Amino acid sequence: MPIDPNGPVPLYQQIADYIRQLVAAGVFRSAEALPSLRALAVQLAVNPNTVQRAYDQLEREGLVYARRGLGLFVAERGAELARNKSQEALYQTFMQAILAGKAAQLSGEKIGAIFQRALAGADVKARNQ
Amino acid sequence: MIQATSSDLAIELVGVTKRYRRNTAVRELSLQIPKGAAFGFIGPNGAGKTTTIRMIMGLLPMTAGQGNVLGINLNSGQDQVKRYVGYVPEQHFIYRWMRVGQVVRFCRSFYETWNDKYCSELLDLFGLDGHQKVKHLSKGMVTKLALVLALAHEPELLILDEPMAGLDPLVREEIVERVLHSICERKRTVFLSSHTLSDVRRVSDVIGIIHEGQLLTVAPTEQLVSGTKRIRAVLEEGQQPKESPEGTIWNRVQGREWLITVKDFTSNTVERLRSANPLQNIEVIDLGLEEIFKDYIRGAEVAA
Amino acid sequence: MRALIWKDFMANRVLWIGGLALILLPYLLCALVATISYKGQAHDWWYIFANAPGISCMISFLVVAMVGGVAIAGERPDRSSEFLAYLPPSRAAIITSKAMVGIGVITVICLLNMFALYVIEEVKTKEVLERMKVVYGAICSSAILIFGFAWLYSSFLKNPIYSTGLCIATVLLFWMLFAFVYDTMNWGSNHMVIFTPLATVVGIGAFVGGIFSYLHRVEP
Repeated sequence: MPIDPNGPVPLYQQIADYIRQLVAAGVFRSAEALPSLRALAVQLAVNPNTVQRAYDQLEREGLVYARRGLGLFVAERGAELARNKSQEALYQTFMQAILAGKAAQLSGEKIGAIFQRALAGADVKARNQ
Repeated sequence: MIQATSSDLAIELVGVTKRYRRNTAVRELSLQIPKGAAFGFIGPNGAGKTTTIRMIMGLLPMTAGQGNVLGINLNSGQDQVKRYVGYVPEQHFIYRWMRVGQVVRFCRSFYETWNDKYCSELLDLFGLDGHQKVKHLSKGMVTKLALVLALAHEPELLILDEPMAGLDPLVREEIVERVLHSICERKRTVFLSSHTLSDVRRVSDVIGIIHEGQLLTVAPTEQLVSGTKRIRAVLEEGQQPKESPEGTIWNRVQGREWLITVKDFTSNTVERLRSANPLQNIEVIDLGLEEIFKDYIRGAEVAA
Repeated sequence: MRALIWKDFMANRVLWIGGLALILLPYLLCALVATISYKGQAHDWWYIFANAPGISCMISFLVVAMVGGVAIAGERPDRSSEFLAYLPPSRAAIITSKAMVGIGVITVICLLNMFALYVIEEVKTKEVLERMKVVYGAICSSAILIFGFAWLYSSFLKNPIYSTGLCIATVLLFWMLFAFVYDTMNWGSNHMVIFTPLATVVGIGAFVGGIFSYLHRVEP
C-alpha cells in the first residue's frame, strides 16, 4: 500500500508522489494513459475527490495532460519532470532533517558532517547488497 | 409527499439539541453537509454520534433546533427520511430466522427505488447466497448483507454508524472499497461515523470531531491534517508561558517543555509565539489524524 | 404491508403450529382414553370425549395470551425491532400489521373452539342452542379480554414472557374481582349477561391502550 492514511502528509500529496514515482520509474511512459479516477480511488481505497486533487496537481506541474473524454496521459517530458520533482522532494526531506538538527542546537558544520557520514554509510550499504 | 428543495445541502442541522431527563446528549449542534460529500464523524464513545444519527434519520425527536435532511424538515416530515437513506449500524439485528433471499425481498418491498440488478450484483460480489439463514452468517457476512440492503435502493444518503467495528481487516477493506465505489459511481452523500481513523481519512472529504455532545471542529480532511501542528517550545530558565497562540487546541507545560497544538498553522504562528513568550527554541511537528483527534479531545477535556 | 404481515406471521410460526397442536391435543387424548376404556360402547365413548372442548378452551386462552404477548414484545429480545425501526415503514404500519396477524390468529382459535362445541353437542334443541350462544359469548369475550391485556403489556415490556405472564395474572385478578363484586351485589343468576359485554369492552380498551402506548414510544 503506497498510501499511509495515518501519517501527517496529505493523502493527495502522497498519491501525487506515488504517481510521480511510477512515471519516473517508467511504469507509465509518455503518451500512455493513467488509471481512471475511479479505478485509482478504489484501488488505493481513498475518496475520488482526493485522487482528483492529486491529478489536478500533476496536471498543473505539466507531468500529465488531459484529453477530453479520454482521461489523463503522461506528457512527453513526463519522466524528466518527475525526476526533477523527486529532486525537489529530496530537498524537502533534507530540509526537514536540517531543521530537526537546528532544533537540537547543532551547528551547520556539524549537520554537514553528519550528512557526509550518512552518504558514506549509504555507499557501504549499496555495495553490500 | 414532501418535495425536496433546490438546496445543495444533503444535511443541514441548526442548533440541534437533545436532552434526556438529566443529561444533554447533543448540544447546539450545527452542521452543513453538501450533496455528494463524504463526511467523517469522529468522537469518543458516548460523545453523541449515534444520537445525532438517530435524529438525522428522524427516529428521535430533537429537544431544540432545526434540521433538514435531503430537503425534508426533521420537525415535520421526519418519517419520510428513512426512504431515502441507506443505513448500516454497528450491531446488526436482521431477522435471524430469515434466509438472505427473504431479507432482501422483505426490505425490497419498502422502497420504490430498489434496483434488483444492482442488488444481485452486490450479493454475488460479497458471496452471499440467498438460501443461507441469517443466523448462520458470520459477523463480516452480516455486515456485508446490511451494506447490500443499505445500497440496493440507491439511497441519496448513506449513513454508516461504526460499520467496521469488530471486523477483520480484509472485510473492512471490502466495505471501504464498496462505499468508495458507491461514492464514485452514484454520487452519493456519505455520513461515516467510525473509530478507525485511517478509514475515516480515506473516505471523507470533511471531518467533524464531536465530544460530549459538542462539535469541536468541522474541516476539510486534508486541511485538518496539514493545518494542525504541534509546536514544541523550550522555555527560558525559570519562565512560564505568557500567551498561547491563536487557534490553540491543547497545550501542556512540563518543566521547560511547552507543547502546543494549534489549528490553521502558518509561519506567523511561530513568529507571534516567539515574540509573545520567553522562548529558547521552537520546533514544529507534523501530526497524523490520530494525534490531532486526541489533542482535540484532550483540549476539550481540559476546558471542561 | 404484505411484507410486514408475512414477517409477523412467519416470525411466530412455531407458536401458531405449537398452539394449534396444543388446542387439538385434548381431543386426541380424550379420544384415546375413551377408545381404550370403552371399546364399542358408543355412548360412553362420547361421554368421555365430550370433556375435550372444555380443556381445549382453557388451553386456547393460554395460547391467546401468548399470541398477544409476543405480538410486539416478541421482537425486542433479539432486537429485530431495531432493524425494523430503521426501515421505511411507519410505526403505524408496523403496529397495524401486528394487530391484523394477532386478531386473525385469535379469530381462528375462537372459531375452532366454537366449531368443536357445535359438533360435540349431540342434540341441538332450541334450549341447547340458546345455551351455546351464551358459551360462545363467554369464549369470545374472554379471548378479547386476554388478548387485549397481553397486547397492552406487549407494547411496552421488553420480553414476551413478562407480557404473557402479567396478562394471565391480570385476567385471573379480573375474574376474581368480577366474581367477588357479582356475589356481593347479588346481580342474579345469569352472570354471563354482564361478564360478556364487560370483558369485551375492557379487552378492546386494553388493545387500544396498547396501540397508543406503542405509537408514543421511542425505540430503541
